[in-house]
Amino acid sequence: MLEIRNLCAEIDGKAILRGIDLDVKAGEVHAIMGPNGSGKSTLASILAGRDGYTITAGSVRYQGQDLLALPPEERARAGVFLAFQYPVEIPGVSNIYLLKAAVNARRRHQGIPELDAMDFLALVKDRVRFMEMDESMLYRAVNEGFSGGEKKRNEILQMTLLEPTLALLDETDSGLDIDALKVVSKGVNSLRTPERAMILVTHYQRLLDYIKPDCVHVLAGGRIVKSGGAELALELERQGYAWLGGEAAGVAR
Amino acid sequence: MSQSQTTLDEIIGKDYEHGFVTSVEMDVIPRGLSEDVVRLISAKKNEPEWLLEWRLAAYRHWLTMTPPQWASVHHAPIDFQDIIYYAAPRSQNDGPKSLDEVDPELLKTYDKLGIPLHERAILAGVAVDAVFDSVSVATTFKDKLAEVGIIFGSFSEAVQHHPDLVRQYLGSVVPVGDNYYAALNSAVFSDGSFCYIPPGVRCPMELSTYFRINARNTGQFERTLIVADAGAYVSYLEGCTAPMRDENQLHAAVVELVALERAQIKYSTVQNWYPGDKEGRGGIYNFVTKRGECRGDHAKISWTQVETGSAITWKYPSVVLKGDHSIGEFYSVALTNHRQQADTGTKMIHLGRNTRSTIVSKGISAGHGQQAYRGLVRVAKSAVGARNYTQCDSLLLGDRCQAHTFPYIEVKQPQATVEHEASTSRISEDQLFFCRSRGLSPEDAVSMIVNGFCKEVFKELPMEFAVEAQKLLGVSLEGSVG
Amino acid sequence: MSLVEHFGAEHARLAAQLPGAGHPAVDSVRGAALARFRSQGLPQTRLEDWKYTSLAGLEHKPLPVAASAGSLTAGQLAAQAALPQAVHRLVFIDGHFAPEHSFHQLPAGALAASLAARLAAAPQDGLPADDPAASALSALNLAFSADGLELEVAAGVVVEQPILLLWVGSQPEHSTFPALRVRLGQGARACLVEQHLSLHAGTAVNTAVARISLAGQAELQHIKVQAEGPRVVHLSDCAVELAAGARLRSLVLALGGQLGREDLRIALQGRNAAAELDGLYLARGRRHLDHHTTVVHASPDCSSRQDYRGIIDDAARAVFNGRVVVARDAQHTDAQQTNANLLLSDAAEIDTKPQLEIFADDVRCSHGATVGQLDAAELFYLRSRGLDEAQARTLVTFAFAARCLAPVPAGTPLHDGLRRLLLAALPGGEQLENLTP
Repeated sequence: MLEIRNLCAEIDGKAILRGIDLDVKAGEVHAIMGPNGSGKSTLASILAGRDGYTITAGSVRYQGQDLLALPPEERARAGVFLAFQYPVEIPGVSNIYLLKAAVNARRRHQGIPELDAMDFLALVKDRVRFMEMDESMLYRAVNEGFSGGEKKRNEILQMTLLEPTLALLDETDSGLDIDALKVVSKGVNSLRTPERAMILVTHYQRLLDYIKPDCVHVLAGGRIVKSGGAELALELERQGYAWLGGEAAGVAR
Repeated sequence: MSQSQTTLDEIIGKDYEHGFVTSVEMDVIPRGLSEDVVRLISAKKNEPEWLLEWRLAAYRHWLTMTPPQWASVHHAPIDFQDIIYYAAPRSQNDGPKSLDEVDPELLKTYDKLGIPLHERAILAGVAVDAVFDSVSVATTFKDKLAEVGIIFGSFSEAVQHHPDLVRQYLGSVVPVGDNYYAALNSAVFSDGSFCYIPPGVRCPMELSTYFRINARNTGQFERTLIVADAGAYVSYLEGCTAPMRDENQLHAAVVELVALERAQIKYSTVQNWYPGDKEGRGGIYNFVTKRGECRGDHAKISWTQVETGSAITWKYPSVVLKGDHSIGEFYSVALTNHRQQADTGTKMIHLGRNTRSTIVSKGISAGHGQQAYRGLVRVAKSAVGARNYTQCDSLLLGDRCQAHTFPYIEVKQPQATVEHEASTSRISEDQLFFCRSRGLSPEDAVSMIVNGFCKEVFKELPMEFAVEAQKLLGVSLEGSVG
Repeated sequence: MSLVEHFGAEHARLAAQLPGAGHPAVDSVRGAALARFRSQGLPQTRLEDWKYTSLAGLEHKPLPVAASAGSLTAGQLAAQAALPQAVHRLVFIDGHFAPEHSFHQLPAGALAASLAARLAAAPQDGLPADDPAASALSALNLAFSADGLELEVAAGVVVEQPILLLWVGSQPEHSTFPALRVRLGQGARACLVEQHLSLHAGTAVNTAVARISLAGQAELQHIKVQAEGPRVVHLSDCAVELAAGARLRSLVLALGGQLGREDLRIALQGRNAAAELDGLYLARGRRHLDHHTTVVHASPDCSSRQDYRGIIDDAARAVFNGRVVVARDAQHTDAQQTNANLLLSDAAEIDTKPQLEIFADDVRCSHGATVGQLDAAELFYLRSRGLDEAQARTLVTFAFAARCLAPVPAGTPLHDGLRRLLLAALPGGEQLENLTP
């Protein structure tokens, strides 16, 4: 589904990614771990199409097409979803407004009829209940005045509505208490199907107790320095990044 | 308590401490202004023909102008024929060759002001040009500066020794007809400081001009021109005092700064002209035009001012940001107590791409003091990516003072970001009570809170000036806590 | 012929026909107003208050005064009104009352009268005196005052439903002079929605004056929508006086016209009076919109809040000047003002001047002004959810604008009506219409 080859990127002339290679197949969940500043979030942002990065080399193919050539909205409509590390507040735009615009944009792209107001509302309310959120949030401005946990739940709510093909979760676990983490994980797990793939970017192993990854990659200094199964995350939890030596340790300091 | 607090303790209760008069034999011309007076001043200074013509052009333009009415200051009309336009300590015909030749009375005066001119006695690292009424009487560390190619000294000398530099830059930032007082200054300016920093040179010490008005009925019209060539750096300090007199005296200076590519000029002022007495008698009218131009890319000009003196202050140190990525800054503390009036602020004119400006203005009004912040932030169409941040705060002490804010923001560039914030506050009873319950006197509490209010500006001042500025605030606030 | 001479001649032509003409209580006021306009002329850019707005263009095109109303159909009104289902609707066409389009069910104690009818019936009550603090344009309006609305709500009377007041320009090439006078008695409450609209695409100059006085504890919500035609010059002066405990909620939406100038002058004269001013100016094309607010805190313990927002696109220009004056001894004043501007095009221009003049010390005053662009992070967030760039821009722009509607209760027909006008005026707004809020 996703093939990343030798991806190199920089910000303001400073190299952040120095040759990433990664293959993600349908049905797989990959965790990308690594110390602060290793480039994890940059990778997620580049996949979603955020401005401000210069791609200096490499390619990203998603379902056979050149992902990097698409503007962010076309990536979204093609099924790529980024759950933001820091969800943006948009005063004045209500959640339900955004959700309806987003759901229908995706449906138009898929060539299926847009939902009418009633069907849409029924669907949204169902998902809001599933995410154990208060319905009133639908009528509040996007993320405005939300706590950190509410914002992250809201991200997953959007994800369950948009039903992406490739979900990128950028540090979705950060700032969550254990109850919120369980709800968020429930939302994510509900979307695990053989057709879908996920990339979890995280600093801690904790999230992986709830969402079992197929593969774990350690990113350090802009490169994947080690890959393995779920047990690799536990190893990292026990020993930190230092045992990986070299680059990983260097960046971690 | 901190050391500055102890200093404030000592200071509170003192009156204006620089109010004495020096008795020294003076060369004074008759009152009044005419073309002949302009010619006389020029002749006394043995100026080249082009400079006389420049002065006369300014004078003729001035005659067509009227004094500005827009500032929120009030004073009786100034009789420009009742002012003496030139007064200088009488000395050898061609002025003192060295400090040894300077009238000992003058040296004593500056000693008393805390500005010793004997180089060995001076705070290390500060070169001083001392301006007494209309002329520069001494410049220290000149030779040492000359070793690295820096020209620093009186304006008159610069006209004689570096006419090409003066001619190239004089009036290039503040044109002769810029405003009423700038035109007047251009016609009759008598002396001031000139400074040129050659390419790539970082001035090894702080440069400083100390202005002293002494003679009665005179106006002081000095002119300062600082040019920092490509990659140069200079930090410049300016201080001012005057005797206590019942009549008002006019000080109409012009300061021009030119920063070429990657040059930096930091200009700091502690203005402590005599403010007049508690009833508003006497004091200096401080009507000053200060402007800098960032002519080259990545140039930076920073103004810091502490304005505690003068009966009326009317000044807007400005920066024209021509070079791409150039930076303009304005940090100001202005205090008006008793009947003082101040209308001050800045202009930031963004012309180059990615130019940035910061304005931090702190106004303190006490007694019947009147104060206005007046500022302009203009972003021209060419200034793609320009940014400005302005913060202007007023602190009010007493229910008869005034604080006004008049910010003009003009933006023609859609990729510019301009932010302006202003607030007004007073010292609350709670704050005072808290401080007093910790053993501070009300005066100390006020001084401490005021100093805290001004901290963002004081941190921009060079060390010696910061201490001076804190002391000054303490003195100037005397009598404002009731 | 200069504009001053032109209006002198117009006055000579029309004076005898104006309602109440011949009665000294009326003639003297009109005469004095004309004299002030003659001596001052149109405001010039050398005046600080007119620094950024030039009326020089008006000199070249003296327009005759509309002496009578043109005609229009009910459908034309319904299509454009902010409140299509109004219970109380008063319509003025070219400045003249149109009873055939007006209806109301005002409660006892609330009186809505046409100025012309009142002057004809009781000329001895005269006209309100000229306000020398207002610009010469107000004097010109008074000199030609023929008709307008006089709304009086007696003490304790509450008008529950909004009163819709439509000022309709039906004929191009005319000058109109609408006048509004509102008086709310002690504890009275009302909501007045004033809308200026044009049914033609031609030139016209509409010089409006409003004088509002609120007695103690009275509450008025005053909404003004300027939705004039693309070549109409709209010049407005509105002065509001608030007695102790009175409350004003004002919303000004400037969505149309070629040149618009709104002077809003608030005097907080009694203790605990409160004013909340919201405004939105939407400058597109070559439109020029200028908003001047003045809030004078003349008494202690009053509060004022201002939130003006501007969207400036194309080659349009906007001006905001917000002045807060705290008089001596007006202690415990709480005054806040913000002005936020979105500058969306290379040729657009904004000049803003938030101004504080403070003569008391125990006050909390603050103001802020910003000029910027649409937030890149917000746009990216929306695009990452599948909205295209144009949609995302429109949505963020609309969200910025719609915050000015906050003082109008959501879910009411009035809120929906204003929102609809706003969407219609925004570029790309039609794309958003089908989205549920």
